[in-house]
Amino acid sequence: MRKLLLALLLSSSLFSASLYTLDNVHSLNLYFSNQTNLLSQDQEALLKNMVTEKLKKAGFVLGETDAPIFVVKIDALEIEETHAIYMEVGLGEEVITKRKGKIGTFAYTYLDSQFIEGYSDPYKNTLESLTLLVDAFINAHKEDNE
Amino acid sequence: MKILITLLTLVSFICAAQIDEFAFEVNYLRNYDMAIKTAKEQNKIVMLVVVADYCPWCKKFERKTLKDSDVMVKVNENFVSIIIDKYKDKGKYPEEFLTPIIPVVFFIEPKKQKVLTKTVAYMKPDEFITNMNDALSLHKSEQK
Repeated sequence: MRKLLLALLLSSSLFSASLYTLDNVHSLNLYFSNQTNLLSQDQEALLKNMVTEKLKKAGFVLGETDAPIFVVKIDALEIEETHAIYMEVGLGEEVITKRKGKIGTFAYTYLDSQFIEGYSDPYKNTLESLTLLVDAFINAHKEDNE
Repeated sequence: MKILITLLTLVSFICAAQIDEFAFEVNYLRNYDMAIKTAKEQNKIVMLVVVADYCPWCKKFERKTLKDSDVMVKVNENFVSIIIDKYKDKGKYPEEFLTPIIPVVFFIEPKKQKVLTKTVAYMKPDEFITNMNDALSLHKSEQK
């Protein structure tokens, strides 16, 4: 019983926020990369539009100079005989490391991904997963900036 | 081989420096025995924070919760706080605090070195303050 309570407590903490810190992220530049041939140009445009609208609705300003880059990457993978779509949503930005000399580097300060294995309708499945990933980012950002 | 050893030494030095740096910033101790002694003298509870350098939730807990101004005031007024690295500081604190889940915070009554309560995993400042209040209430009721 104690272990169950502990597990519940831990999982509620883990699901309530992301392990990344998204304080003071107000503007973004969208980088959208589709490396599959499973989506038509129109479908790709619809996906990009969905991401843009969701981010704007959440209060992000898009297109400012030197803003962190919101990366959306869609890729197709083939593992033995299984085909899968791999999707990644990330936030990339210039950071100063704690290395000697305070070296600056480009780093992912948020990263989340999903695999769709054995997809039936590539567009529909990608739309569903991408919506989840973008919503997760928006929720994590909201929690950190409360 | 020499390069590898130098690199490992450098990495472990940097990691140790980060926890020391954090402890200095938030006014936490790094020595368990010293924390118990100070808590006995000041009749306060020991707040033992167990983290590890590879744990991103621990880093977030440090940044967002332990560095929160309300949390810092509450901790410094009511507790003798100490932060330890689960692995790097192994052997320097009692084994009962070597837990599988981190970050974890133990609230310890110093005379009997008895755990009054503990918090497990990342939590926001307001939730953590509630837990600190619970620990203080427990300590009060134990003293009666």
